Amino acid sequence: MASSDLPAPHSPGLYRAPMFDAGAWLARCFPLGVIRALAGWTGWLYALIHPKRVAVVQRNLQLLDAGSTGKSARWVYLEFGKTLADYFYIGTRPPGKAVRIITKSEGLDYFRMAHEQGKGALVVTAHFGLFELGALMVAQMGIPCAILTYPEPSRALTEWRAAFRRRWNVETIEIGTDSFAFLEIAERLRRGQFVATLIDRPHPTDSTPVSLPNGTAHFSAGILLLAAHNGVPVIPATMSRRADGTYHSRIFPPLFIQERGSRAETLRFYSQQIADTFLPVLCAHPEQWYQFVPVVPLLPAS
Amino acid sequence: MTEITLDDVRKLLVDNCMLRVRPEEIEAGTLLFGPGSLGLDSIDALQLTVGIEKSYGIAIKEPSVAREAFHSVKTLQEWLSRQPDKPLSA
Repeated sequence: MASSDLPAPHSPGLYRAPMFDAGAWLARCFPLGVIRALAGWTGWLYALIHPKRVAVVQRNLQLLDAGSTGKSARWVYLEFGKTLADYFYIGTRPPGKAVRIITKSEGLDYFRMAHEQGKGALVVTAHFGLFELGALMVAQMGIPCAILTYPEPSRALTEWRAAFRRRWNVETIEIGTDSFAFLEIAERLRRGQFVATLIDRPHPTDSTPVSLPNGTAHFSAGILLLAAHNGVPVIPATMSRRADGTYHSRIFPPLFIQERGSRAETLRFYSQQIADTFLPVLCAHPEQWYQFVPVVPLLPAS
Repeated sequence: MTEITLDDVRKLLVDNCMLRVRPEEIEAGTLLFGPGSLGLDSIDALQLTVGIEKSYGIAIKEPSVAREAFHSVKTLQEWLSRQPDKPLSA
C-alpha cells in the first residue's frame, strides 16, 4: 500500500486542543462510568463511519491474529474511547487518588532497583492500554520521569498535553526533527531520570523489523542505542485495563543493551526481545493495542 | 590542541555512520544533515558523538554545540581541532 492511499492517523476535527479541553471538562463534571460509556460508544460510532481507518487497525491486528475482523478493529475504537475517558479522569484528579486506578502491579522492584542505581532508565512501552498512567505511577514512586513525544498536529495540542502531564510531575521532551534531541535525553538519563518512550511504530529514518505471529512489524528502536551508550537499563512496561475497569501494570526485567555485530543487528536483536516481551500481553488484550497507523513500512507515495 | 585532519574526520564518519561511500569521496564542504548532504540521521548523530568521545575524549552535551559543529565535514574538523586535549580512558 502506498502512503498516499492511507487516511491521516488522526482525525483533524477531533484531535485538537479544544476537544481535549472538552474531555477534561466532562471528566470533572461526570462520574467516570458515565464518561467511559459515552466515550466508548462514541469510539464505536466513529469506527462505523471511518472504514478506511478501521482497515488499517485490522491489518495491524492481523499481525497478532490472522482471524481479526473489522469488528475486532472497531472494538479497538470502543476501547480507545474508554481509555481516553480514563486519561481525562486521571489528569483531573489529585495524583495520589488517580493512581489508585491501578489495582494490580507486577515488577515494581525493577523500577526501584534501577532508581537506586542513580543512572536513570529508558522505559519502553507500546501504544497499548493507558500508557500515560505508567508515567503517573513512576512519578508517584518518587522517580523523576519524562515522556518522549513527537510534535502533535498542532502546537496548542502539544502544549496542552505537556501541561496535563506536569500535573503529575511528569515532563515532556519533544523530539521532533532535531537530529540532536538525543543529547537532551542523554542528559536526563545522566541525572537519574526515567525517560519513557513508545517503540512500536516505524519512523521514516528509524525502522527495525520484528517478527510477530503473522508477519513483520517495524519498530523505531534507535533510542535503544542511547541507553547502551549511557549504560542505563531498558525496562519494558505495559499498562492494561482489567475487566473491572481498573488497571494492571506490568514491569518486565530490564535489558542491558550490548553490541551484537552491526548496529542494525543490535537493534534487531533487542527490538525482537522487546516485542517478544510485549506479545503475550498484546495477544491477551488486542483490543487495547491503539495502533492507528500501519506498523509495516509504506511504499513511497506516488 | 591536537590537529585533526579532514582525513581523520572522513574516517570518523565512515567508521561510525552507515555510509555507502569511501572516505576519499567525501568533500570538505559536504553537509552532514539535510538535503544535498551525506544524509545522516539522528542515530548517525548519536553514533558520531559516541565515536568522537571514544576517539578524542571529547564529550558533546549541548544540542546547540552539536548543531554548529556537525554542520559540514569542514566545520566538524575545525571544531574538533579547537578542543583542548583530553586524556582518553582505557
